[in-house]
Amino acid sequence: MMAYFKWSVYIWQLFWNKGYYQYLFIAAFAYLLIFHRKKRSTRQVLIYSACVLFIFFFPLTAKVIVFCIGGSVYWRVFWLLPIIPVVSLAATEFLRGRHSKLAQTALLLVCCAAIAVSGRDMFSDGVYVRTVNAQKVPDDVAQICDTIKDEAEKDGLDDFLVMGDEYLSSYLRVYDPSVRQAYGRWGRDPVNNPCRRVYHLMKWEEPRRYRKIARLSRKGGCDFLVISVPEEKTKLVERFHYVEIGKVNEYRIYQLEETS
Amino acid sequence: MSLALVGNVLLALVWLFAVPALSGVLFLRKKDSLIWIECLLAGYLFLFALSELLILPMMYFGLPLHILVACYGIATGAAAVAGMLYLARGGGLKKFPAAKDGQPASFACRLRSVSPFLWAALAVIAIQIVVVILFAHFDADDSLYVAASTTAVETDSIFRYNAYTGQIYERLPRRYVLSPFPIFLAVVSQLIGGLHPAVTAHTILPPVFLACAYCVVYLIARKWFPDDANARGIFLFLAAFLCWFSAYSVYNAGSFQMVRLWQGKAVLAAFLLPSIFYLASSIVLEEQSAYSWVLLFMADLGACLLSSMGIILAPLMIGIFVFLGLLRFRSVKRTVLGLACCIPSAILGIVYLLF
Repeated sequence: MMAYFKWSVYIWQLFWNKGYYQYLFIAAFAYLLIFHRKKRSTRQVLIYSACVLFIFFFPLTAKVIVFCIGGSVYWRVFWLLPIIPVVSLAATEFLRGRHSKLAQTALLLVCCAAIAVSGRDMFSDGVYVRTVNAQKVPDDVAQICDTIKDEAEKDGLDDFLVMGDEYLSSYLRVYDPSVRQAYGRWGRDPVNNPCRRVYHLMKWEEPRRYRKIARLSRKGGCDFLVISVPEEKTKLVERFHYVEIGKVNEYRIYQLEETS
Repeated sequence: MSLALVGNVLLALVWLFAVPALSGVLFLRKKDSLIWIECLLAGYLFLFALSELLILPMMYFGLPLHILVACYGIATGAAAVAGMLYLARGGGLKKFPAAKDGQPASFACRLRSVSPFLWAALAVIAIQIVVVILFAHFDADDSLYVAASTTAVETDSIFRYNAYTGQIYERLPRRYVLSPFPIFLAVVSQLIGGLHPAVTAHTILPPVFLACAYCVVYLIARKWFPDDANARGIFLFLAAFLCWFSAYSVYNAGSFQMVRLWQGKAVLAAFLLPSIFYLASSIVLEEQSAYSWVLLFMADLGACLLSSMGIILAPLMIGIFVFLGLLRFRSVKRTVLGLACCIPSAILGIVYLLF
């Protein structure tokens, strides 16, 4: 039972990460409890929040929930906690106690500053980017997909299998679902055993990996192979009848000779 | 802007705002006064619940996607028409505050009465909406959630093909098929002019659900501050600002709301769970509720559509409110009704755990 409690505490720390929103929440909770507990709606939200925290930390309830949803996503129980409503409620109750609009506005700005310091801006550090393609997948993935589709069309290929790394396999079928992939994200559901082996090889940094990847890709029936290969190693891939048909950033796009 | 794009936007307005709002009216007949945002909320609960009811059997019987699109379109369209008829003939329009005493208040007059804090909140929300429309956020979870939609449209099927590879499924992934939100996305994409599901997911749905999420926040504010428009404005502004600065971790609901509001679990965290919070506190904990228990039942069913996590989180939240209601009213009827709202989760939860 102690292990579940420790797990809950670990998840609590993981959930808040480097922010200070937990302190905002605790301060808001305490403020409402001390000054506004007589208001029925406030009392309800406080008792509800306490129940959620109890369910989260109590080892028996934690054990049941972990059994149902799995330990790795236990942090999602925090979605039940009305963090934003409680903090907003406390700040609003505090601000509406000031009678002058000017004082309210000034204190609202102070609250905003406290929030900004406690959290992190969603629109900073590349959380959002611009893309050229309307599907809003990474532009290099879109370019690779377009190149493959053009070649396949030129060669009359209706059905073809593409081998790419983790990054590509995450977005390729979002952009174009007519493309079949050798495996999914995290190497899931590989179409055959050689493809399964290639997924693991893609992560290696060995000189022979290119040759092995190309050999297994061919064996796995991959019509197209998209891989980041240094110039001096391209022959290792080409030895297995893969022909380079394009290059997008660090990725080289190869097509199996028999299909071209 | 091309003519086709204008057509897509108009269809999106019809299927994502007009249809939910009009069909939602049907579930709020009990109320003496109405506002459009609660009609929108009720409408989305209806749409999510209906989608779950349509998709699961159709998937089981292996029906093609276009049949589902037709059934969904007809059912929701009929509900919207019925809502419209209720408003026109049944006197429902009189329930809206703009039409008090049979005399609609002038638009300018209503604008003047809006709190400056509410304007500030709307400005913050507008910035967020513009950002999610114009910019992109890459999330590798799309490899399943959005690819399942694109695959459904490409193959005209419902979860018959593996979203990761495009191969036919040998065995359905039980964790995901009980919560087929990607199929809902595919249906919506087809209804708004056959738009690519990735475009619908990344450009159309986020602003819609962001607006819906803030509508729920406003309803909560309205409940907590019924006579103070200024306080409602401050509350909404602070909530929007808190969401803006939620990037402190990738796990919190605010972060899910801001960056991936096209995935079922994000819609659950940002929109549906707050909706259940609002509804449960208004229905279970109020002596005389203006809302029907059916809404809470649909919310639970809708949570099952959105994510497998909804199958447990929604009844957990309702359960806490039922427990609080039991402590307050000591009413068996209220408790039974509350627990009955969790029946969809209970059934799907058993299926999820046992099969």
